[in-house]
Amino acid sequence: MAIHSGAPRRATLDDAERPKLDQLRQALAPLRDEPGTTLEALYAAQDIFSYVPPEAVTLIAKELRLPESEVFGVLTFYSMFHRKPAAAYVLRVCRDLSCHLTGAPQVLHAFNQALGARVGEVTEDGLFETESVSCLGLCDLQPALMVNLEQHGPMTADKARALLDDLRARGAR
Amino acid sequence: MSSETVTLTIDGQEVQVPRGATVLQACESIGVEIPTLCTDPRLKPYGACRMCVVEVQPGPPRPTASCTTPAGDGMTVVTDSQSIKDIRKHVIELQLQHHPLDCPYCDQAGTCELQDEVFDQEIFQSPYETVPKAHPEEILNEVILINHNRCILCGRCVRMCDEQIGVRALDFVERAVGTFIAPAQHEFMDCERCGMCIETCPVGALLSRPFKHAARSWQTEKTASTCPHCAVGCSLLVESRHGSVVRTRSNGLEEPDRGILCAKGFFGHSFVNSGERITEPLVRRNGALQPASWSEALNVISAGLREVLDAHGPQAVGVVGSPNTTNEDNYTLQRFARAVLGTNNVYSQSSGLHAAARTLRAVLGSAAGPRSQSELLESDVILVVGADIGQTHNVVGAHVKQAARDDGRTLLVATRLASGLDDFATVAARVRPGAEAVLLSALAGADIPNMHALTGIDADTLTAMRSRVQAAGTVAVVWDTGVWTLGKAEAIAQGAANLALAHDGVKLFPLPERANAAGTFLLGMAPDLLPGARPLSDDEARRQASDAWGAPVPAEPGLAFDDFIDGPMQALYVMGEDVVGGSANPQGAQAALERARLVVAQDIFMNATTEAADVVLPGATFAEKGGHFTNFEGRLGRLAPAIPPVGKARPDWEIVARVSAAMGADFGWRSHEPISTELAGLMQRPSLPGSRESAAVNGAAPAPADGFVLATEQHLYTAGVSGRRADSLTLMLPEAVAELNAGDAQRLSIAHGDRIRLSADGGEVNLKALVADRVPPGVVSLPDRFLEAAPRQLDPRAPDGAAVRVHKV
Repeated sequence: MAIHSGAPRRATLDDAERPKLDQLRQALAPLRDEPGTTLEALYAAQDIFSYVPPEAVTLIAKELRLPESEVFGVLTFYSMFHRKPAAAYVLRVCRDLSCHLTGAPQVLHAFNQALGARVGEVTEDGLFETESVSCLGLCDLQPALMVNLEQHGPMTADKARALLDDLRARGAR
Repeated sequence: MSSETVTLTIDGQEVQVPRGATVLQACESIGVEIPTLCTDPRLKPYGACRMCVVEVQPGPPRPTASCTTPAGDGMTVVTDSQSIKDIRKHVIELQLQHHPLDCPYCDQAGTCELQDEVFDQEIFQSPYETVPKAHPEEILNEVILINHNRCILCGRCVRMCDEQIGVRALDFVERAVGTFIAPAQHEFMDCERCGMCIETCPVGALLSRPFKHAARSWQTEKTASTCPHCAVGCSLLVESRHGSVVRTRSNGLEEPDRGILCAKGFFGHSFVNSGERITEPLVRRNGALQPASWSEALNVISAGLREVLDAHGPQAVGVVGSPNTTNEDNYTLQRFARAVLGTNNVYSQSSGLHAAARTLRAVLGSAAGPRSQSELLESDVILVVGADIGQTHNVVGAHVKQAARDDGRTLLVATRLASGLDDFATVAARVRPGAEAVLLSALAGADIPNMHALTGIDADTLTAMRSRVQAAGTVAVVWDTGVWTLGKAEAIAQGAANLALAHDGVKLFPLPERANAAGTFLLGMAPDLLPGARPLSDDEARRQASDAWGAPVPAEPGLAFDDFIDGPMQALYVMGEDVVGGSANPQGAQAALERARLVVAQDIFMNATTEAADVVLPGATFAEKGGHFTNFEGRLGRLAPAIPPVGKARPDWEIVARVSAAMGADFGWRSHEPISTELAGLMQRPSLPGSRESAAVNGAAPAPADGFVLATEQHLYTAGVSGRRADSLTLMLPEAVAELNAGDAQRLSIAHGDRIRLSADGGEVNLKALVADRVPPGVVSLPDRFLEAAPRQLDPRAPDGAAVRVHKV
């Protein structure tokens, strides 16, 4: 219990988003007494908000009884966590050697052409965003990609366009 | 395997070290110098910087960090091969990619460990292009900033805050080349402003904002001294230049601080050079205090005292010493009173520590203590009751956290406010303000009905605490005796004594509220005591004092302070104390002072007492005089003058001695040393039997359901009068505040920063509300700066535990 805690901070969540903190609190309940659950907690927050807002970091630290600095350190260390609102579907295309050699650049190109957006840009409908990432550990699926936490591969340009149609059909989360 | 030592060879030299020592320690033990950057003797080995690499055989064929490698039997270590030298040089060259060579305007220059390595490795120019980081400088809070370009990512700040302070406000963020040090979300919410991240930083990355560009490190004079702000008595290195204190730092790793300080120790020194200091004697002429020469002031005082003694006798004269001044100051005042003026009307602040110490002596006798911090930290169970000692005695609080985490002590916390100690506790509970003594008696086994309603602690939690206390071999009971205990200090001490009587292993640690409160008690600054805190009724003690002072000490004890000022008082000599502002009845005390023939007040700042005085004398701060404070353990902390006194100010002992000389009794002292020697000779501790009787302690009634209970503990960023004149501390807590729980604040539509009015039977006070997680529901916390709030009619001394109402203004 730090001596300054409790003082209000700059609010980043709007009124529509704030109730999701309760949802996060519930999701954290089973993690509370388990050591080493920081990543799970951050994933839970990202799943609920599409990103990890500052309020979620504070809540995770409080609920898991961790220093907030440590939760923030973990959040910023890993590139798979978003700190700004992200698209409903983040398409993480592996760019490392084996995926590269089997056509990852063509897959990424197909996405960007179909979406009319560059890597890292969120499409206007808020549905998609592509990322070019380091090895996903899915070399058996080369060229591989992940849609949020869902694995896909081996990919081709055609499969990429079909995947977009499929995801559009699922709609925003 | 069972051998206590291991033998290894370092650079061809055989060396024996205790098992468990690191290779680095083994090298240091024979004077082999190994460069390090991420090592701090206060911190655990970490192995980040790779400067300390050595070659170890047998072992992997690669350079090994000596700081994290345990010395092993038969090891052969090479510390100075060409390849090792090359690695070290390359480590520094890589650091210079980000680290600018801006030493001419870096505060760390001269004490910078990287600067020394650049020199030692003979790197005259960085071989790489320097790539500055995106955010060169970030202000973290009122007093701390970080220069990311200079940061070498050794992690000492992160580990210091975690391992030593138990806060962990900082961590590494981002990764790889983009890594930097930052607080959570770039808001330094958890920081306790102890400055120890700055202290441990080997380079000029973490910086003190008050010290920024104030002086080059080699230009300052360094004086070893003792922190004046609380009874922990931390060692301090006072750095001064041109007669001003420019910074204070931690000094050495010894007891009691073990190498750390708190916000007050590190940032709380600037009151010394405050423009509000009293710098010359003032004498009341035509109703107004006006500057006067020392000789005029001394003449007025000696003539006035002589007149009162002749007309009314010594019973009409009294002196008040101070827990803010040294043993030598208080002793001189006492000797002057008892041996020169012939009165036992000798006082010091109406003090929680005095009340607690008297109660413990009466019950437990000589076994009452004081005891050392090591005994506290080595107890199986450490029980903290009442105020949050992380605020009142921050450094002891930090040590307690470490003892719980690293040494396996069981920490039981029964404080009124939530605190950082809770995170380290086996059982943490919130005790209702006013029920602390009842709780202690209950833990001692007393069967008290209605415990939950009285203390706010449920039966299961109480049982959990009680069983841990009973099962433990040794139990340290720790409580602050500060402002919140006034009016109930005896009851709390009796509760603690009950626990000690019920369990042989219980040791008591009352933590005094001011730097030298323990000293004033042990010196006998009381109407019925003598040096050594020996009873005045002890003929032998009186004879020894009379012999030392060359004058008889009257056998008749003095009056209680309130009886004295409302009774025979015609002259009062006050040294470093505000007897009016600190009184339960300030108007009454002021009237009494105005009725007196002569009031002399000797102090560093004006206050309600100096305003009412006939003569005001400029005293000296801790940085301007020699002497000693006695800390909570009974340990002497040495003060040494770092700067000459400002203006015409003089050390307090010297002023009193000059007054005495003006009255014909020259003690012959020209420095504080002979006083230290003389008083040490009189400090034999009395052998006291103690009643060994447990007494009932009654609980306070719970406050009404619609109201609040008041808690008035000292805040970490306050340090009495001097703290209010220390700029850095006033930045941290700029004004009087009341802290409320978020739920209560919401219920009353009070937002963080709103003005509120607290009203009680004793009056009301108007101040700023802060929403604070540490305050439990139904409690409103008034940190001690509420004394400045306006309008203030609330009894400043004893509202703790009172029922109050809260209104939004």
